[in-house]
Amino acid sequence: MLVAWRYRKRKNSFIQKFDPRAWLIFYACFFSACLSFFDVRYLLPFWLLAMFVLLTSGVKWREIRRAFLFILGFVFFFALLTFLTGRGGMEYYSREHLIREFKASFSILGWTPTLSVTVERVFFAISQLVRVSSIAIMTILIPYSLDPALYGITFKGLGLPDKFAYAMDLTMRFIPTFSRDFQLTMDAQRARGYELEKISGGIIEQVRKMGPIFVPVTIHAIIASEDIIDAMDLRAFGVGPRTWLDVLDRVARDRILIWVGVAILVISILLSAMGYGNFWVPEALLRTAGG
Amino acid sequence: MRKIELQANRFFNGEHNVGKILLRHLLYITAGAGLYVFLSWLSFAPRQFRMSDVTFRPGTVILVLFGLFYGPWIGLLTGVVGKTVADVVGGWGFYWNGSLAYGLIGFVPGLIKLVVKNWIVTKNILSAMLLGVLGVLAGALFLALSAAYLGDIHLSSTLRAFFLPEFLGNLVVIIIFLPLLILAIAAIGRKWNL
Repeated sequence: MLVAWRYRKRKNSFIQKFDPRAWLIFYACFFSACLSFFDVRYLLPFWLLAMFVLLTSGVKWREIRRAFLFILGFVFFFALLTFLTGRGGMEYYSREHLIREFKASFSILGWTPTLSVTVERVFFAISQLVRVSSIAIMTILIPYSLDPALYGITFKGLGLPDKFAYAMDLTMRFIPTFSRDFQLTMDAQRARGYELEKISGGIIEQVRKMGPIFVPVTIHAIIASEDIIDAMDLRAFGVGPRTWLDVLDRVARDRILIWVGVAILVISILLSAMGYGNFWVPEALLRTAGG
Repeated sequence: MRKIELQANRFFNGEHNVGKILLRHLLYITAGAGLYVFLSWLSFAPRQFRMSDVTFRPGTVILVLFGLFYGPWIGLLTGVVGKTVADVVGGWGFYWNGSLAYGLIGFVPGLIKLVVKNWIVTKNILSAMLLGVLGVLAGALFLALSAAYLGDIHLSSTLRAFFLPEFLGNLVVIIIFLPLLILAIAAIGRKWNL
């Protein structure tokens, strides 16, 4: 059985005042515009907008806490990883200005672990953090504020053919279903004495020990999707034009939202094409670091 | 299964009208991509296994599996869609060469279905593993070559920075998980004539 995201109708929710199609168009514009920049000064307005949407969404902290902490942890983890290794940012800068270097007091086969803190790495990590968290905040709100019953008609209303609209609808439902299956499998394996927290051994051994979780989840997901496909085939889905039970109405505020989104996107693309918004570090910091 | 193979053959030979793509194909792609995205998220979690730059992404095996079972085009699109969504949702943006590299991981193993008639995955586990390794090799090579060409970087650098971590990490995942998954599917058997 497919499960839905934790949606409910919320009082005075800014995001829910709009037609889902208008909101998705705005989100797509916001998302693409945000990806145009790597300059933290240009990214901050996006982050502030995302925070405004979050705080006016009516989503309670206790509802969103788990997903939010997971995503924030994920964002922090990657920003930290990029900062520590320096990988990822090399496409944006060619020279680094050292602030401080930390060297380990031991060596492994002649290699001494070294952490170089440079101005570029610090600012790349900050830019990445602002950029990814803006997108993450906006993304995470969608399942909490978009009625699952309207997924199909929303995508159909965005111009997708029936089959694609329904496929998108199912994709939106597959992900929480996989998550539920993963949790169920993990609980079942724990009941049999499997301890995910105590996975040890070499790298290959660690991967092998993930098998009791990974294999059942995958197999269950494949079987479940086959069942859904067969059920739809049996009902002759896709043979003729489809009708949709729900009807969406677009009013003036939805049109305004769409135009605001399009304006943000166009301005961002123009600025980006003119060379604004590339990776930036403050000159003063570069001078301090000896640049 | 025969029906899917025939569709794959028609699609591959250009006889298939993309506008009339079967819902079944579309759902395989969405299910595979969804599963890949979910497993990628799990492997991105701080608990992920790492050894220097080598990361283990269990989701990769899904692409090989879908390529082997449902043909090259479903493997390719599962990889492209899955990697794109995983990257975009992760906030990394869209890198066409990365998405295409992961598409190749699903595409290359699926080619066997077009070359050898009546090739049954569950009866050819070793060959399936070899094809999976070839897929991973093709994906990692494409990534390194495209990064060298697009970024004007020396090939030896991209081989070290992209090819080795991608290939080694995915190789371990394929060797361990692919036979396990194929055996599990064979055990279930059910309605599939795999």
